[in-house]
Amino acid sequence: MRWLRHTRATGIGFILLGLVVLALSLDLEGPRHMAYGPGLFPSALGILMVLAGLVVAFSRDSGAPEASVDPEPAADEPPSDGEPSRDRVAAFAVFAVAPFVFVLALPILGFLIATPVLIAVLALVSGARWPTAVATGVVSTVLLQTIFQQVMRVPLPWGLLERYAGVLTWM
Amino acid sequence: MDVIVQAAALLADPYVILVMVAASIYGLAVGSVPGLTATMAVALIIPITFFMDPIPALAAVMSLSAMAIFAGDLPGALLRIPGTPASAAYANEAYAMTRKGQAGLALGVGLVCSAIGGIVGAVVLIAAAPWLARIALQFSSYEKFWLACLGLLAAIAVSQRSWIKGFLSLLLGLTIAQIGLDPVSGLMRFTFGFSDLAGGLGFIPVLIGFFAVPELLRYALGRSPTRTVKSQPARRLFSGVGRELVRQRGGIARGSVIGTVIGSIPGAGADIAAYVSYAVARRLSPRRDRFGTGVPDGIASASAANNSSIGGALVPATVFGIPGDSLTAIIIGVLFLKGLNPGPSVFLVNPELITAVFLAFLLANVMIVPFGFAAIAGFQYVLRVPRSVLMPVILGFCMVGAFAVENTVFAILTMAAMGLVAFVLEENDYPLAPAILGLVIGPMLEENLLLSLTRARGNLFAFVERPVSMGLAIVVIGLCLVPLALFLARRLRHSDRRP
Repeated sequence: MRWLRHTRATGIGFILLGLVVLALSLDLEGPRHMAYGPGLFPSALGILMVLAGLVVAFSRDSGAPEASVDPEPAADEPPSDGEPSRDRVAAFAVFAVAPFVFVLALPILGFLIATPVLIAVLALVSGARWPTAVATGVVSTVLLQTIFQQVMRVPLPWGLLERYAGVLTWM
Repeated sequence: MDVIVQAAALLADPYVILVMVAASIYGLAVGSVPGLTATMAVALIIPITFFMDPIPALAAVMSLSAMAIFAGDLPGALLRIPGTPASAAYANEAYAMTRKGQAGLALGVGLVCSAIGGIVGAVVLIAAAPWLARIALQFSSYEKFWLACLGLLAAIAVSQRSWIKGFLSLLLGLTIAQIGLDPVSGLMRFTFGFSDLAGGLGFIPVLIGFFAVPELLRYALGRSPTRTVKSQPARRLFSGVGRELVRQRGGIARGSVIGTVIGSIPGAGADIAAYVSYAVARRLSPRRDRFGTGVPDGIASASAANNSSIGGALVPATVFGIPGDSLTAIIIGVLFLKGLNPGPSVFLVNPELITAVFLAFLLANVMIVPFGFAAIAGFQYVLRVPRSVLMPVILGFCMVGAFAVENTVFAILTMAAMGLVAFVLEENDYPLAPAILGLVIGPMLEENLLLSLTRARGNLFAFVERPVSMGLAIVVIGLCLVPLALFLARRLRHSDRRP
């Protein structure tokens, strides 16, 4: 994932973000009776962000930062040399996408179906065996549901299990 | 003195003690779970305290607040996922110690310092509440503006490698804080017509995204330092804590004072206290070069400030009904609920009741030590769980925790998006703590800046006309200029030596 490690690119990213913030701030019009409107503070932030971004983007050491190599890899996991294996990149993608998939699945499938499936998949890509992954998904879902829904009364979506909500509420 | 004796008698009820023990266990359990905060724990127990008498109800709230705030250090030190925003100030330091096999020392020092800070805060609360509140109440928008600037400087000062990257991270946090309702004009900013953005990005989802998600992504890539955490046998868990506490006595005292004073200023809570205390400790420590690599100096001072700030925040909260932070805002709500309306009159009408509440807070901070040691020893077992099982469960907790706080799936999206941004930033050596502090202080800074400018009608000298604001301005400008002057002096000396 060396392509992610480029300080100059982040500096340019901050310059662009600063310009967007500045442009949007200048469009903000406050009430006439107020001398200092809602755009003053964010426009100052935008200008400072552009200036600081320029310093980062065009300083001499704005290339890739030093790779952080893990000095002591665990026995059950391969040592990392800065560039991860294809499996690791796949696991990274699954972890990165998982919350977005969860958001899409939660209202449709409901918490009690979406959560164990998602956690089991995450455990599988992390290297757990099938039975362990399934058990992790089920046990952690029951734990989460007990803490958040049964004890703390957080209204987690029921989804497909809406009609069984009464049976599944035990506290 | 009679009032204190009467208040102590109210607390000596076995039922009150039992409620405090139960609330302490609940506070430790909730506070130690990544994504769950002390504020959330207090908010969720209020429906239960509704059915209790005033003393056990308020004693429960005080106990669980103190315990949950300490417990926020546990995931911060062991998993680098701070349980509370204030823990973020020293989570990296504690985690670096954990990686060196000094988890027990880091947590032991943090625990005892939290207790000492909390006790100092409680004693100050009991002894000098009206006096301290009078000082804090004299702060106008000018003083608050300078105080916010001081907090921002502390944010940049805690940046380890590059101040410019720390500054950019701070600007990012301040920019995120701009989303939603403008605190002064009440107009919408940067919402693009989305109703989910009207209230701004949720603080807890952003916090979880910034501190938990990058760790999980690094784990997925096989580069997570959590794999290298060294577990310690229980009997050696806290070895060296006593010696370290004696060595850090100055820092603990300083942190306790900073926490109490900053906590007593409305709007400036435990977060600012912990960051300022950490930055001061870093500047004054003989081991300042090793900060960030795992030294207990910053942990001792900042964790003392963290807990002492609650005592300080309770001063304006109880005497004048002004909350120092979200936690004390909820505590004020409970006081109202129980008929102890905050204000100077409560000390005249119900002095023994309000003093009993303060004593409960003092007792809770004493109870932190045995309860906290048990919690630390128990939390060590988290490290024995295989990472392939623990990390997916943590992601599950993070997603549900984000959802629970905001009650909308948008909070999960916020968490995920912020997590990806934070991952890229950390890959490029940007510190994340300044962004969080910018997010916390942003509204306070903007509000006080605009109020001051309006009051002064653009006259910038008004910012330094009052004695306290001038004092704070000198400190802020001095903190900006002194490092610059030292840097220039060093460069000049260096160039003189060259032939």
